[in-house]
Amino acid sequence: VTNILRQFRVEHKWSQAELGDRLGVSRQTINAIETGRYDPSLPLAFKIAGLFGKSIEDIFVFDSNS
Amino acid sequence: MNKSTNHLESTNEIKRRKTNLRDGLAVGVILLAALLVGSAPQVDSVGPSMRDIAWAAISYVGVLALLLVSYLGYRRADERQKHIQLKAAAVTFLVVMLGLFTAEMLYALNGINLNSVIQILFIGSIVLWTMLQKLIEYRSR
Repeated sequence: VTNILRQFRVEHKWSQAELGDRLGVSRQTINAIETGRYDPSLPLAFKIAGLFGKSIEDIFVFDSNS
Repeated sequence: MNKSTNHLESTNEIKRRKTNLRDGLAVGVILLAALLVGSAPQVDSVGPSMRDIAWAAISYVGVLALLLVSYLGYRRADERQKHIQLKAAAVTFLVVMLGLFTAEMLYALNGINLNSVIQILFIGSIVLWTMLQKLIEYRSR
C-alpha cells in the first residue's frame, strides 16, 4: 500500500508529532506510515481519511507489485 | 494542541513513555527489595523460615507487578507499537519454550540446579523481549 499522507499533512502545515496527537498515535508511527514501512489498520486509515476530509482511496493506494 | 516539530514526539507518546517509566520504576523497586531479601531460599529439614517466605512473597508480588506493567504498557501502545511488541513476544515465546525444554532435559539428567536456570530463563526472557522490541523498532525506522 502506498500513500500520499505526507502531502496532505504538509498542506495542513502539521508536523508528524501534531498529526500523531490528532490521531492518538506516536510520531514514529506517522513516519512509518508515510515512508510505507507500516500499513495502518482499517480503523486508523478511516481516522486519517476523516481527519483530512477525504476517502481512504484518496490517501492510500493498493500497489499489487509491493 | 501543543506546538511541535518533526523532531519532537507527540504529546500522547511522551505521556505514554512517562507512565511506562513510572510503572517500571515501581516494579524495579519491588524486584530490588526481593533481591535484597535473597536470591534463593535456604530451606532445611525444619521447613522454610520467615525470611524464605518473605523472599517468596516479595518475589511473587514483583513478578506479578512486572507482568501487569507489561500488559498495561501493551494497552497504552498504539497499533504499530502493539504489532512490534507482539512480534517480539512471539520470538521470545519460542526461545523460552526451547529453554524450558532444555532445562527440563538437563534436570532429568541430574545436571543442573533447576531453581537457578528458571531464574535465568525468566530474567533472560524479559531482556530478550525488550531487546527484540528495540531491534524491530530500529529496523522499521
